[in-house]
Amino acid sequence: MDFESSMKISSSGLTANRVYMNVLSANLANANTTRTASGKPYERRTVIYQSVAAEESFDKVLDNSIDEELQKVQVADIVSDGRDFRRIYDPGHPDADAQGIVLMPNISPVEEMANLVDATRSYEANLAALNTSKQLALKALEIGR
Amino acid sequence: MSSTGAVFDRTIALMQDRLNLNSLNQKVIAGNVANINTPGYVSKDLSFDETLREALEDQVLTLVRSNENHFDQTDPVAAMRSPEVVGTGPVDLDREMVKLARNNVEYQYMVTMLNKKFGLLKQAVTEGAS
Repeated sequence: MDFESSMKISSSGLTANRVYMNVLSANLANANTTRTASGKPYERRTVIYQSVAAEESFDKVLDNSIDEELQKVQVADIVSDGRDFRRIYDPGHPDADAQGIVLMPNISPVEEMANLVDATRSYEANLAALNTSKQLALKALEIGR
Repeated sequence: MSSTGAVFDRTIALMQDRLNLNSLNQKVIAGNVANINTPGYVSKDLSFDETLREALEDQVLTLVRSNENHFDQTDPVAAMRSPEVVGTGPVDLDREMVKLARNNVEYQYMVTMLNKKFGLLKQAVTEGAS
């Protein structure tokens, strides 16, 4: 029974939400990007969360069986969400086609900001859990004092 | 570790079990909060609280024990030593935060009580000198 693994679980949540925030920031920054390495406009990206066993196999052998049920979170993949590009009529744009249509990333700043708030709140919740674990660990040092 | 000697009585062993339980509960809550956005994740909870509540309310059917060695169905202490992790549906952040706060207070309370207990013992062995 240690607080190390609960802190490990909380920090996995912090990491996952930070990755999500980075992805959202990249989406916002590239809302009007028409050129990428692939030759296409920037595609909106999102993350896939996955829950995995909190302890590595070696620790699991040492600890009791209940820890197998405990799961931390990790970002399984960062994927393009596959929605169609926006078609903007702008004949003066260097990337416009013969009809004057420019393909733009389908990114809504409002949607990204809402997701960003969501990620921030989840981050704070994990931080609260982490701080509580820290408090308990410090309190345990006071036993018998 | 059940020390039931003359100096360290059953209370201390019980408090130790409760501290272990709270520390395990902390892990369960941390796991729930970390997985709040994970699709398909089922929120987890320790089964102990429910067992204790049932035992306190004393409204559950109990097995008749005619012998000390018989299996005790609703012994809250036994439930505390071997809690089970049960699934309770989707993660509710408010619920998890309340559980977190409660767990924190319970832990601090237990450590304080444990220290009071040790303080009494210390007073006894020093004949009230300190």
